[in-house]
Amino acid sequence: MSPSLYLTGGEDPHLFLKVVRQAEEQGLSAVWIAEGAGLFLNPAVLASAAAVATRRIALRGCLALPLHNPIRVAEEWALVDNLSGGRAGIVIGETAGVETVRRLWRGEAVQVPDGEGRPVEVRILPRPIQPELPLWSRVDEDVIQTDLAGALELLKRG
Amino acid sequence: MADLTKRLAGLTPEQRELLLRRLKQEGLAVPGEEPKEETPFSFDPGPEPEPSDRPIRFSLFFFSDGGAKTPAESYELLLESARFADRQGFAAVWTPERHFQDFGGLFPNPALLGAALAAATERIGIRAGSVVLPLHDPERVAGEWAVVDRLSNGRAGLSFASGWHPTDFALRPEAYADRREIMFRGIETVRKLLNVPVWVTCSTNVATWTRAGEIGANVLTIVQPLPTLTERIARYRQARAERGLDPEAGQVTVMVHAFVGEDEEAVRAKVREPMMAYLKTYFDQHGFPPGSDVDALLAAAFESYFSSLSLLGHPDKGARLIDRLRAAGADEAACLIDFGVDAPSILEALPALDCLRTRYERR
Repeated sequence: MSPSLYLTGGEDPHLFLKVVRQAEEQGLSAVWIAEGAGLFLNPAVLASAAAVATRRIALRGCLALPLHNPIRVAEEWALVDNLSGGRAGIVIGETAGVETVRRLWRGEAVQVPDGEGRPVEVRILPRPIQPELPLWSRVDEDVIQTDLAGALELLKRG
Repeated sequence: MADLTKRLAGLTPEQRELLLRRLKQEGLAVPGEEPKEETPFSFDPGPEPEPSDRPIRFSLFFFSDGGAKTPAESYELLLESARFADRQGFAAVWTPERHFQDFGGLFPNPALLGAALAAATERIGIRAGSVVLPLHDPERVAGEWAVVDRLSNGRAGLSFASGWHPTDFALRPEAYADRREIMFRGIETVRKLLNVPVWVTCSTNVATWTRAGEIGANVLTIVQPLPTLTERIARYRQARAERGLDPEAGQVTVMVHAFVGEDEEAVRAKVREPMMAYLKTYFDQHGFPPGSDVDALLAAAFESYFSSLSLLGHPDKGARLIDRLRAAGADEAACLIDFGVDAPSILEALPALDCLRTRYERR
């Protein structure tokens, strides 16, 4: 398996796109986008931009799920999956929400209270392209971990 | 569906009158905005307007993805149309926020689509129409759109809606009861953190138009008959003036269904079924007037839209609607193109819409 990039942070969204394009050109298999501050607030936003700027490289978000609504995570990454033609994946620790994300991704309904407190069954839209969500509990062993500036340097050196 | 026109024609004048009255009471509202009307909505376009030389801009508006076979096809249509509009010089492309239901359910977060559009285009405005703000942490919305704004070199814009569907609030049940105030508080927070143009999504509720004027926001609304629209826009501009803001600097963006073509009958054949299906989905969500003949109601609604409240059909007919919007004081026609026609036909019809646009603005 070819190596992949684990992007830990950075400031410039144009540099982000440049790095992902370059990584794809050089045959890397995936970019992992760590959730953080600023530009990296929501990896799904960056992954969406990368989805239309690339064709082949896998786009994976590394999320702190307990902070987020599993429904939002599932529908946002299902959208990334569609925009990218089935290249989405996420890394989340073993937390309570993981199973919900997995079930929603498969098209199952989950029961939650609505705005008036009544239980409703919701399913996510869009339906993702990949039938099962590629899910990791931690990133691969062979990732190159760096921020955007460092990634560009590494890619320049080949 | 095929016998609907016959059924409508088969109504007595009294039945037809009753039907139209129900339509006026029910009306249509803006996606994301509460459908409840303060005043009756009418499908009557109103009297001929005075000629106006007010400039007006055109944008594309996505909201329902009704015609696509797969989600991927919907997004392909979005990107293709946006690239066309970008090349030709349309003002903006708008994408909505929708959850859970088939009606527009392919758009869970406009910031994600905004980021994709930013990477795919060069100069067109990229806007959310609308973020249902009570469902979210406003700081997170500001943070996500800051990325879209930087990625697009300052082309982002945001319209905010209060939301209304209880199911959508499964994302944040505690915000449902006080959603309108939560929205306005959230707008304040977003504006402190992010400097992009802001709209408030308004149906015909006067209080929302006035509040939008008072806070110096733009307005996003759906096409409505000239007298109502003129009155709402005047109230909005007056509210701006009372707060010491230039009344004319506020932008009023009006959504209209669009599928322009020279051949009226060919367009009618193309748009009738998807438009009726769209209207049916709409009424299913908002409730049919009790006891109404559903099919006849839909047929009547379609005829009203087709004849005078849309850019469906001949460009000269469309130009008459645009002139009405200008006379009413609107600044932008946001063209709803994904109401259910198949994607190849939508793309094929875009140059005719662009031609209509260039009657009003330069390339």
